[in-house]
Amino acid sequence: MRSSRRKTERELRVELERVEARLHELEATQNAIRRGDVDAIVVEGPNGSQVFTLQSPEDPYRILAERMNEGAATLSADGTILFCNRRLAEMVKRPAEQLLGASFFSLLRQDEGNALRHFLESAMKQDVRAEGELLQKNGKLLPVQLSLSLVSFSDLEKVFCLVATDLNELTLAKRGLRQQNEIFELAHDAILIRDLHGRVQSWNRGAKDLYGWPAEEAVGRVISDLLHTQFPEPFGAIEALLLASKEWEGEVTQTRRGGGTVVVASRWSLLRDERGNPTAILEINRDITARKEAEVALQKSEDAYRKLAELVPQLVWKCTPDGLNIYFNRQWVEYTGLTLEESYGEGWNTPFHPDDKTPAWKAWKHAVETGETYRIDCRLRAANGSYRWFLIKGIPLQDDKGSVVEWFGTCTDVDDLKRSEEARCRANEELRELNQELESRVALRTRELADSMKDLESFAYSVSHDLRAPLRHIDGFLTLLSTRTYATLDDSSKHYVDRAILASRRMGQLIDDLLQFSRTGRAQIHKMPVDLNAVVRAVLRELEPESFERKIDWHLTPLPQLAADKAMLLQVIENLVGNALKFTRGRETAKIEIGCKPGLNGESVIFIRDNGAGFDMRYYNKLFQVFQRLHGDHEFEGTGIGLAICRSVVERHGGRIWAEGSVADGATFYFSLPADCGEGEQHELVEAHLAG
Amino acid sequence: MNSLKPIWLVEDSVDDIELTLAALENIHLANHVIVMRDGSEVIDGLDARAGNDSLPAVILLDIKMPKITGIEVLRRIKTDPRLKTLPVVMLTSSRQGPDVLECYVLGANAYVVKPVESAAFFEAVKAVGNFWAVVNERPDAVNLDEGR
Repeated sequence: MRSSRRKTERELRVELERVEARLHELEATQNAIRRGDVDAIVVEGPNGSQVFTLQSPEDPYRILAERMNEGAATLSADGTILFCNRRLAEMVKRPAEQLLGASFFSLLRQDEGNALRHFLESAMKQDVRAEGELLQKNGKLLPVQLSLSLVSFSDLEKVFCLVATDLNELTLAKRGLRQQNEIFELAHDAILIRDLHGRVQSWNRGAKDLYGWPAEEAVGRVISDLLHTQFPEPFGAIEALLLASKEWEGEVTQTRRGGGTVVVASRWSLLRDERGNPTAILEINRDITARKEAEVALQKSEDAYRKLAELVPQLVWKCTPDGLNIYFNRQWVEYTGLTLEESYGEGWNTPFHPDDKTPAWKAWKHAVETGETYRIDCRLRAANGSYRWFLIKGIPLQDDKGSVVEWFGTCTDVDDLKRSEEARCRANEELRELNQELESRVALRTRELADSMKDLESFAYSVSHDLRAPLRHIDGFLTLLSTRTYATLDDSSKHYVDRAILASRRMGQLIDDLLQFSRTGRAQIHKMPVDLNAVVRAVLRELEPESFERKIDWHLTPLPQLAADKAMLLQVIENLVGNALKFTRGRETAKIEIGCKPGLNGESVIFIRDNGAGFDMRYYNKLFQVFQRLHGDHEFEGTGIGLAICRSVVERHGGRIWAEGSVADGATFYFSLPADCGEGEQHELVEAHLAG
Repeated sequence: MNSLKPIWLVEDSVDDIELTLAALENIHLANHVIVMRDGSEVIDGLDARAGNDSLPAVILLDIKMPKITGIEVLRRIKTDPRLKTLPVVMLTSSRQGPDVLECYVLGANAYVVKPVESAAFFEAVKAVGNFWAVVNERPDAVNLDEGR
């Protein structure tokens, strides 16, 4: 009985009843013995039943007293213990021998002495019963019920028979019951007990709070009149179930005092008596209205999202954290051609491209382990068997506690994007290859150019050195010859020697001019702001010997500042002005005009006009060619390199050169230079060679 | 004293040697002209004479020569403390290329382009020969050091 487990109410009640019954029984036995109603007592013992007759009362009586579960003693009128059983000794935790002859008063608290005295007096007249406490040796008090009867062995010697029943167990049982009652009252749930006819027997505070009626008003009323409970299934069926399984559970809708309805989770338990016959029904009802409303709201939002999921063009899915699918939208079915039944669970793996299955599974595992967004590009098989690229994304949905309850995601068709991206990548790759090829071609070409430049340089060197040397020798030996023999030569021979010397010198001049032309074409251009007026002044100073003792009408107008290589520009002006001087040699008064006019796109056009010999426009195309001359040597000396150099310089500056003229009527030479400084012409050298 | 020293003409072309000798002869220099045909001959000759008094009055040095070029010979002379005061006149048939600048950087005393016109060439050789062999007095290395 002293189990640590909390006893149920029912168990406590049963125990209480048992203890009380035993008290009654004992009392009855006592009376019977005293009155002589019984002849013998049968005592159930470990060795079976034993019969004690009362004929020789002494021994059997003692045995009986020793075997009793109650403390028993015989007291004299002054309270001295004449006899006590072992149980009583146990109850006060003293040896039985010590108790014999001791005063029963010593087993009571001091302040209860009078009460005992009064108790003994009362027992003279009739049997008495009272509750009290026995003082144990360790000082603790044991609650007991004391029954006292007068057993007169003789008139002189009055002996009392005392039976002490341990009330501790009983008290515990009662306390347990009180606690149960408090629990019953304090529970938030509505707890009620109704009999088999539905009449309310118990009604806790939770029931009052939930339904509105206090216990006083509810107890005794039929529950269906009170709550108008609506059951999810016919009541008859519920009753049958309850009787069969002793329990029922379900959600019901009930009416409160005042008309409001509540949804409750109701649990019924069938209460039965000792024989197992149903006596009442215990009902525990929990208000789940709020939860129900939340569920409805959730349902609504879920409906909304489902509608949304059906509307979007993506394939929408939901699955458990195990990767088992539980939802697909219509688009999934339409794209994959799989039925929902085929897709649910693990079925949704089938449309994945065989090559994508492993990476998709790895990405999924990673997402589930980390709770991060699931994201991967995969090919999914369409109903017609072809594959398209999809971006698959999924996010975890978590409950209040933060644990993942399901995954929700989409598959977005990115096939076109992917393919155009691939095409772009391919194009980029091709472009890169093309660029690489171009670069290597440029590098190769540059190398070739550098090589050919080297060749050209060594050629120029050879020309200047190796070709000029024999010429010099020819000239030298001819000169020595003529020095020694000139006087002895006839006129023809003198003429031949002179012509040979002149020819060799002319060839030397041609070689020098050719070299200058090649140098002009190769030299790097260093552009800087150049004042053309200063250039012209320098040229005129330079050419002063040419104009010596000649009548020249110079017509000079202010010229602009230009961006150019000063030395090269000087060369151009010198050539052109030199030509003007040369070809006006036959004029009595030479007229030479140097001016400037605006050209196209902000260019400056410089012109040098003379009234000289002019030229035949029919041969214009030869004018700027190397070694091309429109006049014979007998008219005007020259190698035909000057204008070719001018053209080369002007064109390398990004300008043009041209001329107008007519025979014997002068000529005008023009050249244009761009307005801007022409920066970024770092590859002049290369371009010049490409042009050459 | 200088007039006793020879003029070295370093030239590989027989034509140029003949013409140069004719030009030198024309100015009636007392100096003996020693002709050398390549650079290594000059180097060896100078090495043998360095330190004594038998160095030439002037070296007329052609740039373009087989084996060791005139420029290389010039560099050896001008970087040798014993020889650097020796007058060297570079002879070349070309005004082209980086030769002119390089020769001056290396310390050539003159740079003469052999003109095509023989008269001019004779004049040039005459001027050089007269100037370096007769007019110009080469300072002794000792004097030079003291002069600084």
